[in-house]
Amino acid sequence: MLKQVYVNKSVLEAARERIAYIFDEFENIIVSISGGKDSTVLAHLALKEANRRGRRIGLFFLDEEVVYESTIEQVDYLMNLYPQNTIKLWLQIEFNLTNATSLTEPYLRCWEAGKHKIWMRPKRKDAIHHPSWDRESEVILNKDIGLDFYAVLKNFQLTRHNTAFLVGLRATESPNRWRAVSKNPGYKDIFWSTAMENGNVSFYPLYDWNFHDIWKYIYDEKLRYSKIYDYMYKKGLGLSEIRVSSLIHEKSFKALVELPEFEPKTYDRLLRRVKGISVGNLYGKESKMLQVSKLPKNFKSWRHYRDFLLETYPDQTKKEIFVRRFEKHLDNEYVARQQCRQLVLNDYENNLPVDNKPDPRIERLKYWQEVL
Amino acid sequence: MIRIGLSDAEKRDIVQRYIQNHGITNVYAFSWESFHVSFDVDVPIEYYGYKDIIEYKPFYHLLEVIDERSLLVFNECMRTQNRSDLTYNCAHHYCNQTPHKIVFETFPFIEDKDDFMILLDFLDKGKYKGKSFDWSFLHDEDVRAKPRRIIAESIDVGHTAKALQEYEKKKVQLLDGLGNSDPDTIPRNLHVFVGRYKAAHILPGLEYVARNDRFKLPNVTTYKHVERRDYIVIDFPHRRLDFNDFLKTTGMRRVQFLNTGLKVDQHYFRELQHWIGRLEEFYAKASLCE
Repeated sequence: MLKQVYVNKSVLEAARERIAYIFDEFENIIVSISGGKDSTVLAHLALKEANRRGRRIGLFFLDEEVVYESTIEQVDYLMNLYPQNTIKLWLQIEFNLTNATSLTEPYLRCWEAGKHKIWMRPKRKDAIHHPSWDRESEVILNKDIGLDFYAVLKNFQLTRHNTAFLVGLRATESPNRWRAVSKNPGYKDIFWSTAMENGNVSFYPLYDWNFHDIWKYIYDEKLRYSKIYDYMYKKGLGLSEIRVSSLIHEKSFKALVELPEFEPKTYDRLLRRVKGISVGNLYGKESKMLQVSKLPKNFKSWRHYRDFLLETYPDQTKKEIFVRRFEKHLDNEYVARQQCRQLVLNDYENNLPVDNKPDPRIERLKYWQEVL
Repeated sequence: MIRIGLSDAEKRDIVQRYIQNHGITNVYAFSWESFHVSFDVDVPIEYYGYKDIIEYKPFYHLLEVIDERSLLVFNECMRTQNRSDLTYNCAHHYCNQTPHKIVFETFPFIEDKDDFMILLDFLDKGKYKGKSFDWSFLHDEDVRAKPRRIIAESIDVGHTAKALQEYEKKKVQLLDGLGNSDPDTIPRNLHVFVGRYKAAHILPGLEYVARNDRFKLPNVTTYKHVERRDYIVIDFPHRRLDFNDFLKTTGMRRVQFLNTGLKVDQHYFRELQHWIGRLEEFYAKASLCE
């Protein structure tokens, strides 16, 4: 738990001051938006400041294609809130997204040329359809997947110089990430920032906002927000589960279980677009399937199940990635269950890292052996 | 306010007085189904079972009707140690809409003092969110406790050398055959196993309680079917919450346990003694006695 120290200033006042400071210091400002609640607030605060100063700022949205329709409506709303102050940077380019729901189609190439008939929706006329960087010197972060989400962000940022990128990261939502980015000041003595190449800097003006601060601002300013939040809230999802993101990667595929109920048309289009969607829908929350929390009955142990999954893994190249990774792990049931999860969810990128430690169940067993 | 250890009559009295003193116009009472209390009040009252708290129909209805003159009563609603449980989260939505909340519990916690935060969350979730238990919180809020003291006594029935041999054999068998099952099933199964050495000590004319109906005796009942009277415990339920419910339902203050002296019996009996110790510590340190 992060320790919070209260000062005699509201988070809203502080955020306004931070944004004003960024406007004072930087000529070029770009706000990254996702259609979620945090970036909605951040974009609104920045746009108001831009409007007050008669300046224009970029709103950057990397369109993953397979997202909620409500997300698209929200981004559209933000891009048109202050049109005179907005530079639309809506990227609809080809890149690869992990697909956790299918082993035969391990990733989706979103906006893939030639597949426009099955795209989730047509490309927008006001969007950017081609990479604005030199493809020869394009940065690839993970050679196994090629140009992925983070690589696109990296390449886009490299096209800019001396630019402030505003990101809606909040410390309470992601303490680990916050610790990682705030270790050192990224710009002058500002700890809520990270330095990047070309004199670019990422700033996090909402870093000290809590969940309730975000919703209060949205309410007070009468802002529109993604309908998905209402659906999820009504459905009784926990606060940490309520999020808008891609629908198919290993951390968000559970959204597929509720998708037909929330957005039937999006689900219908998704079925035609990507393999494995109905698997995600049917088994996204099944303990013996994609949750990988219970051992299927025909296996003696998690290790047995892991070996079977490895043996039958359809993609030889990806299989090697898993084999190499698992060789470094401890050989126990606790670790093997997590390895099974990686295999079932096709997580060759290691986004769901394995907690590599002795099996706590063995410790419990030892305890009972002593006590009984 | 939080009130610990009150009888149904005392709970009714508190609710009545609260309504009179605070200009309450409506009461919404939530109870664990087995411990329902009817309140005789002059304002409209709606009753909800614990399981209703998360249901769509009552949830949206309650969000619409609860206002700052409503009184919410949570009666024996501490049903899980998970502070972030969905039922608690839904209840907090109701609690946010009125300053008037009364929380009744027989015991201040399920297992240990940290559970008390669940009751404080009912009063003000925002204030206690993410905080661990601290004794000072008891004095920051209107908390009173009427200690319900429990005494644990062992009726030693002993065991033979053969019983010990069989016990050890069973233990090894359970450990070897565990497979992927939860290790906690071992003490549960062993505890039931040693019941066979207690059968000869079940006396007619006395009432007993066991985990299941395996003794087939008219004076041995299961935890599900206990009534308000004294029982001698043959074996304990594994979950503390189930035993607390047993104490609440029967009203027992003195727990007598048929103890073979085998390690598993000693373990369960020792756990009960530790729980009683924590309870006494809470009463002593909290200094909230009426």
